[in-house]
Amino acid sequence: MNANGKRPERKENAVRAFLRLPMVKYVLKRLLIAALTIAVIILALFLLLQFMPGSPFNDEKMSLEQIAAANAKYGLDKPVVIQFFQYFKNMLTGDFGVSYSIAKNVDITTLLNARLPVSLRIGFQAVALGTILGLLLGILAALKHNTFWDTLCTVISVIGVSVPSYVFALGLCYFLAFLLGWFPTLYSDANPILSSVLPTISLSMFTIATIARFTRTEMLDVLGSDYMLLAESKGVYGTRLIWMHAIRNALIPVITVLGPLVVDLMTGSMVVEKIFSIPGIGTLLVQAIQANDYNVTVVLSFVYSLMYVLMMLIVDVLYGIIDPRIRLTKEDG
Amino acid sequence: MKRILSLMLAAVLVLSVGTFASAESKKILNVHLLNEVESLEIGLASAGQSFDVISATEEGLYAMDAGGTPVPTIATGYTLSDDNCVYTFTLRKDAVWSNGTPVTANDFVYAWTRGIDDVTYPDYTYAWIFETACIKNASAILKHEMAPSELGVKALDDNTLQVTLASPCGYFLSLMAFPIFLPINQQFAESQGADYGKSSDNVLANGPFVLTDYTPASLSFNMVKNDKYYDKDSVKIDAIHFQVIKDNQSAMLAYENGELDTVLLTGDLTELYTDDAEFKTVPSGYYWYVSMNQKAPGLNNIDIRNAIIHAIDKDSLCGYVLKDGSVGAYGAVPTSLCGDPEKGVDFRDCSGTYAQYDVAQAQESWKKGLEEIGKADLTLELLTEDTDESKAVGEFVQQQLQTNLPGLTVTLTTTVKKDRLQRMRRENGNYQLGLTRWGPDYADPMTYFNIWSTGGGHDGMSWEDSKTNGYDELCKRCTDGDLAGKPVERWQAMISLEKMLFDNAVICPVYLKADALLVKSKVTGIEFHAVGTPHVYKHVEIAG
Repeated sequence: MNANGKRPERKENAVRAFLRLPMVKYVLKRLLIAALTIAVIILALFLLLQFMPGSPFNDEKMSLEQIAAANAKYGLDKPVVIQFFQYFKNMLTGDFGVSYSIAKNVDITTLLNARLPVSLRIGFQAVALGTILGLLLGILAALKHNTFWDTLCTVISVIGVSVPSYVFALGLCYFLAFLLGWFPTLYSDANPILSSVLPTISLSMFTIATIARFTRTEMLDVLGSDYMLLAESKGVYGTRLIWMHAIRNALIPVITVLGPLVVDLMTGSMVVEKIFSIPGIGTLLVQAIQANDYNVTVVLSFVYSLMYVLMMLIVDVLYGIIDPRIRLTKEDG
Repeated sequence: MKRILSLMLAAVLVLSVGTFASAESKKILNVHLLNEVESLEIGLASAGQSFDVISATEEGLYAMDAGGTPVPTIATGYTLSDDNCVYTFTLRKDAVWSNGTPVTANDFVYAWTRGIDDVTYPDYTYAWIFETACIKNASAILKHEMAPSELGVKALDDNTLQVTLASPCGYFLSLMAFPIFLPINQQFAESQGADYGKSSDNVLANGPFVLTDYTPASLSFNMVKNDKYYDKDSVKIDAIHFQVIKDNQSAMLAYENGELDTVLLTGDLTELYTDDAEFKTVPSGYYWYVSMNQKAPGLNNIDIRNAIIHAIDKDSLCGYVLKDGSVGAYGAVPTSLCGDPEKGVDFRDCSGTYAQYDVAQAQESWKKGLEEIGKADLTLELLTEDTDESKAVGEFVQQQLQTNLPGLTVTLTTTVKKDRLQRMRRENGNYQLGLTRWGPDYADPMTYFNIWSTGGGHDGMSWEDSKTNGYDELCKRCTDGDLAGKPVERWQAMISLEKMLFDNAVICPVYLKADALLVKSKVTGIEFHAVGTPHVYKHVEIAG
């Protein structure tokens, strides 16, 4: 170990070599794009808000002086550019500001802490349920191609894709909660798991339907391909054949679809949250838009965008892991 | 496998039974709210549901009883000076806050000087109420000519509060029931700092109930009977559970399921339940009318305006379109607002019936008006909100005007409420016909007449003549001028104010909104008020 010996060099080379790994370059590049996307989104949101009609305070009974004083207090009378930079700075330091109309003067962080976990939990439940059920249904339909199961899968897919989550939500609420009394009609913190069942099912219908269809198509494609024939002729059979060879290949397009599906969940959640009175960010966003609560609208839109960008990032990375062709071919040169 | 399934089913059943086993021994009222409460701090609250929740937990000097008469609550009585300008209230000695400290006169002084201070509450929409109550120096304070501490309210000792008015105020006592005049415990509020009023831990109660688990923008929260309340024996229920449900169908399901004891009916659902035994309609006090901007082409002509006023069949609107108990408006002041000072006869019954549906008269005025402005036809834009109700009313008014006044074309524009309000403000005046409403802030006709005087809340229609024809002047005299101390003459003056409005064809009344709701038959005693706090739950009883 000399002072200027091998080790430091090796370390430096090691770092550089690490960075040159195709996987790492791939992920870093994706991260950079994600960060840039988020910055552009904040700008776009802020600009859009400037064009919204009315102001947060224009209550029927306020005088001009009161409105002017209110604008001054919240810094809304400064030029737009200054407002934006101030806002950007605040967002990066975690200072999301306060709500103007929904919960007056309450830190938006407090609102987020109260509302976000519920939405995330139910959203996650819906994604998990949707993906698992969708995959199972799709695989079953592909394996039992042209039988009753296949037809059932198609019917469920069509219904799940065509019927809006609002109708499912109300229908489930009416039949399972109201008529049969198996579940509560409204979400309640006192009963978080049971009262989140119906919302989860309503939200996941679209996911089940879409994933089932995709999986079925992909599986059929894979099952009929040459390498499956080769594997079978090599003596691989049963679960091992399906799992090791068929499903992993079929999964790739499914993962691609998962990204946008999560977005559908986010938007669907606004309606489902309203019906089951779930204290989540979906209803908060709609309320904020209607009440012209600027800060809440921007912060929530940002949260949604963040979730989406994150989701796409995960999908991209998963893609790279599952299919080596992608990360290798893309990083040529 | 089968055993696992049956075990799971059993678990689900047990869980559901467990959740639904309601505590039968406790009487809990389940109330439906349409929106979240904005704040528990009086100075920041401006929506009905916020007032409901705050007023259930806090009391002021007076409260409105079911008939609309002020009754003493924290105050036990008062003496009034000879010039009717100084009220000396004695406070009860057994009123305490939920942290055990007594309610003192200083709590009122602190609350009122804090409430009028627009540094603390720049967007507080009710600061002008101090002026309306004619409290000394209120006007100067609102103009920043004096500090809030100069407000005419003083604590003579812990149980005596002295309020000095700039001029006599005929409805002062009923104003004292308004939430902004509620007391605030100074020490507690200052210890909470910026957090005051945000959740149930950040407020104190001195009224019938105490909040237990309210957090900001909460959709579901509870309040329990306040054991420290001086009149707790009058409170017959143990707790109130508030549930915010924005979707009216889910709300109905929850009501039919027994999870809600009250449900507010909106839109199509109202029709479905009109014949139900539990259906109730309650006048909400909201007065809907069409504001006619006198700067718009044609609307500066009195005959054109008169034509519009008489061309709308309001009874049909209420009977066939709204169907929720709303009634036609035939004046500038709704029914059941207040009665005359001598015999209590409702203002509507003392004054005249205006703006009646009379097609012949309308068409005559219309012809005359068209001749005077030298046109054969006229196109006007009617601005409404984007709610289902306003759109339906707008369409009805459009159809009526176009049918009954040949040559008139009415185009409809809908927009969000905040934009509509913005456009109809005087400094914008960016509308021609506008469907708008006003809710009473206090139980006196001046709450309506003042909005049409110069500088008033609905002054956007540019009725310039009000400055010269005596309307503005008479309004001032009735509000805080020489008539303020002469109730009988003042009453007559207000009747003549209404006559002036219709002699000059200033506004086109449409309807008085009623709220429709269902209340379980086992629940009695919910008080509905058109002024101040919309719902009072202190005297609720639940049978069985």
